[in-house]
Amino acid sequence: MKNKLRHSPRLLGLALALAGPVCQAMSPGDMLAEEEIARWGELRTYDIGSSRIREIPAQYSGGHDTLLLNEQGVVGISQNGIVVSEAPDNVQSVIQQTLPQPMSIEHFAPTGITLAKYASFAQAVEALRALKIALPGARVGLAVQFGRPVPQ
Amino acid sequence: MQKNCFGPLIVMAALLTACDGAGSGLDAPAAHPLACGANSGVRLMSASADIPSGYYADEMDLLPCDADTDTGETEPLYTYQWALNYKDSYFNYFPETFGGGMDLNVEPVHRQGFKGQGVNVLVVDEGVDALHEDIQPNFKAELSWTYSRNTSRKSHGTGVAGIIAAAQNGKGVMGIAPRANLGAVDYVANQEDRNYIETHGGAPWSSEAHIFNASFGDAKLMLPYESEDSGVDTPSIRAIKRLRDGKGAIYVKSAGNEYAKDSEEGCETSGFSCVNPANDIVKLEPNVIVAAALNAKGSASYYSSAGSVLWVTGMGGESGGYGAYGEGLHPWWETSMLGGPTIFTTDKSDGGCFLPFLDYTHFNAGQTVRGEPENPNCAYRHMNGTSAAAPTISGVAALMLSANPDLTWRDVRDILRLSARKVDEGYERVVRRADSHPSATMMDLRTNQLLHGVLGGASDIFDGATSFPLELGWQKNAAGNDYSNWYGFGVPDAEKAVALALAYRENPALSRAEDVQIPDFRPVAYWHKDRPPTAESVFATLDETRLRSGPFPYRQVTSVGKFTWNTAQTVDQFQVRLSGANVCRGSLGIAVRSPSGTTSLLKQPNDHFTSLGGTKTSFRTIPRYGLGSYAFYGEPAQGDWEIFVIAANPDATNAENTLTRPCSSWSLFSGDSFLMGFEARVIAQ
Repeated sequence: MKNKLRHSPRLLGLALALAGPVCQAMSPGDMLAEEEIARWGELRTYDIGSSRIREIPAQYSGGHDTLLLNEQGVVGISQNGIVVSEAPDNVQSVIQQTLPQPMSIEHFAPTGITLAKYASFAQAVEALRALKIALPGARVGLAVQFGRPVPQ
Repeated sequence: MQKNCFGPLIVMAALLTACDGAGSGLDAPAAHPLACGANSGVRLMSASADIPSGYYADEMDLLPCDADTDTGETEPLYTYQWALNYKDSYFNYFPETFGGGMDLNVEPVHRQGFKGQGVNVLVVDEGVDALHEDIQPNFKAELSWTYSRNTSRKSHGTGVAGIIAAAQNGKGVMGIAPRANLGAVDYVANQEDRNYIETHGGAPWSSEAHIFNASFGDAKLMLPYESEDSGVDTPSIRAIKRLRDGKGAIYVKSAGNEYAKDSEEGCETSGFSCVNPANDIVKLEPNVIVAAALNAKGSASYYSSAGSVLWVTGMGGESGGYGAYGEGLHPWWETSMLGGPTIFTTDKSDGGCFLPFLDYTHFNAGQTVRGEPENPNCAYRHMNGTSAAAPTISGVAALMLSANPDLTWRDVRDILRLSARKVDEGYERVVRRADSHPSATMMDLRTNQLLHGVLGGASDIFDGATSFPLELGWQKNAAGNDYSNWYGFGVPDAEKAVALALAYRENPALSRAEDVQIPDFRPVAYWHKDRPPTAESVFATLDETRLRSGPFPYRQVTSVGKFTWNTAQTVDQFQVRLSGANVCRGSLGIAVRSPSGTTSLLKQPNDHFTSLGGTKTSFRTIPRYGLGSYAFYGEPAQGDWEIFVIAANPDATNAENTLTRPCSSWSLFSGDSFLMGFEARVIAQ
């Protein structure tokens, strides 16, 4: 558990902190203070169910991922995906025919889960709303990660 | 299949030469002579050169044995594997840190020949050393996946894999299911949504897994449960019930190591689980078997996270950081519970050895202590944590499936419960740790101070109470099931579990193939000041009697109201979901009383959320936060359930000054507007 330095998350955190500016070291699960968030000015906000999620400007996220903030100031990450489960067999064609159209659809047959990816987080949110209507019996949600599990 | 084989050759050697901190006053023993078969009348054998794997012979000592039915005595390090071999363990020489405990009772099962044959176990971790001498014989590439070329982080996963299924090959240690097939995936080092779905049965290789071992988690955050922004975890975990031709894969997850946490967490000495395992939303799923950790003295490991979502307890040991093999005491703590043996297992074989300083034992450092070098290349180690406890349960599950491959996920979970032993009875009324207090000590909610010397129980939780007990101990519910927030249903007995598995095979009518019923949450109550529910809110449907306005009732226990369940069902798990704004969440505790009168603590006030930094709203926002309890398992669901808020003082420190006033930075005033919604549901069998 804890008595191995080679697994120390603190050392990892230190390494990340030394690796560059704070904005580049953000990762899911980080909790930001209000003053840190305020530096970005007004952020684009999405109301998703009862949650309110803010999008961190793209220049701070790097790569193709979208960095997010939940109401608690916790950093999340999204590959702009929608996850669909408990859906009918034609789920892929329904997703394909629903606007906005995804950039990719991947179906994981053994578990019946489908992951659709969109061009932007805004499109993913839009697709979430559309797919909840198009697939009324299915479970549809945003594929976002606000935590970062560790060995324990 | 009968074989002739021979015990590995061990030199009877020098007495212990170094044993820092052991402090037992007893002479430590030399290495044990080992041989095939428990009653083979072994003689001491002479040293020999390397022996071919699978066939161990010495011209002088031909000891026939049966590889199918031998216990782990064939393995050189078996004497340290107290979780398999308590009675004859080396650690019996160290009564200060060993004794009064138990093992998983696997030896009778191994003698019957059940060793995990035909069972596929997938280790979801940071990677596993597939070439390790004790892993390679059972490793199956077709059950495995590697997302990253970074192979430096395999120690944890290799340790987990060894606990489950290190081979019985005369080398090193033996797993609990030494003939199970091992797969591995390095998801924890490569966390992406797609990888999670693939890892959890979504890919051809993972879909062949019968058991998933997940010794990882994240319970620090308060995240929404069953919300549109809950991510891929919940749907993926639910979907593994489709595997094994619909019988469902078994999913075993570590509870967490956050009972006693660093002072930075703010509740180091508060005497209860600092971090609630339920914060990790995966652990709310009924098909996830959450495993706590037991030490070698037969009580909860000092770190083992407690909470009402635990199912059973495996073996994790204590710190293991002192002495030659982890048997030593902490050099300055006066309690034996902060020292003592951990779980011996495999380590990545190319990792080298630690320098012998700090709390690394001679064994982990590869130093010779008892004669012949036992761990010269540090390809073995001892590890602790619920990371170690979970694979002991996965190992027992593999033994059960090898006895009866037709068991469903519910059968395996039921049998683990039915075979479990109630341990450490009365634990809540004794002082377990140095400078601490019995866990049933009452806390004054007005001051956040402990009422030292005043112990409480379930009956002390009532509307209007101003104090509450931190822990309720073992409780027998109305269905006759004993449950504890420290141990779940207890410590499984592998012999009994396999006997039950065979009984299910004999009588398939015992099996339960149908899924549990997970209904939607239903609103129970809504409290607010100047923030009535909006028209879109689920709480807008509540009648006036369930809407309450006025100041939030900090500093006392308050009944939220009755939640009536009208269906004649049997309880699997009871769940509560909280949504709030401008409420000091670290001050908030939740208890539930069933229609049958059983009480369960689902969340402690003054837990780690009191100190979790961030924004003002991070202290005050509760985002559809889920909690669950198995304390009511088997009881009738029908009737009135009572939910209690146990709200501490948001603006006071506690006795040890480890709480820095939960919401002091943004002090809450009785006149502040707030909202707090309560939902609940019964997950029925």
